[in-house]
Amino acid sequence: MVEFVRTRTGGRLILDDAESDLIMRVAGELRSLLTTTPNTDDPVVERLLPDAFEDRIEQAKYQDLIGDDLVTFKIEALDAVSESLSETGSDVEIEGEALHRWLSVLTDMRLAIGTRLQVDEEMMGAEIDPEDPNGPSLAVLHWLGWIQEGIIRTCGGL
Amino acid sequence: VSHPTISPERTDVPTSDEDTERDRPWLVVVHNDPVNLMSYVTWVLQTLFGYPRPQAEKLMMDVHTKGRAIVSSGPREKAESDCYRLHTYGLWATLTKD
Repeated sequence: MVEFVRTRTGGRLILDDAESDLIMRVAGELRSLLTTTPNTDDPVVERLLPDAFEDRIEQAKYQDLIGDDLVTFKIEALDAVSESLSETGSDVEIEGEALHRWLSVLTDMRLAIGTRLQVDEEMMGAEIDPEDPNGPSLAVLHWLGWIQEGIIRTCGGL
Repeated sequence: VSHPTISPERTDVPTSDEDTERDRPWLVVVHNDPVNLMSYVTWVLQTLFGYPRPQAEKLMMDVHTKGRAIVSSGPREKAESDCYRLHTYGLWATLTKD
């Protein structure tokens, strides 16, 4: 069972092996998507690495400016989260920079699943139909959101 | 919270534009998406911009109900930095002058 523990400086997230494995598996899938096809017109990649400008010339200037910073940040965050899970036996401290990385990773996982399934707000608010072939993916999407809210509540520092 | 490694010494400032056009602030717009949780969007706006919770919640609700909201504004470099940081948190942000 997932546990959130508040500490003096931040918080801890405790996962069992299956939960930890699931997060590492999704992280691995996302990592291969970002490292193998960073420049395609895959809608998931477009959503994870969005344009800042509608205007093509302005966007090209912005892209020159940031270079690979955003995709690098996202890949390093995935690696840091996976490493923290495998190193600590799924009892991870989430504070400082780790908070940014965890929230970024959980968000990117949710965006990737949601974009792939083409979810809308109605789908997100509805009960999962047990007959729906996308049901298991939707369940993961909601579960990751529940973890994200727990981390914000426990470690979010507000 | 990390900051983007945007180079501060950019030199490609347009010189032929009128000053008024150049001085108009860039607006950082966050767009609605069906995936990000309302609680998360509120937390990001509070944390990144230091907005009090009621202000962050109002902006989040504008994003949710109107489809978009201006969350910050300023000179190009600041707006680009804000947009980049929002992208690291997975929010769908763009820059505009309109």
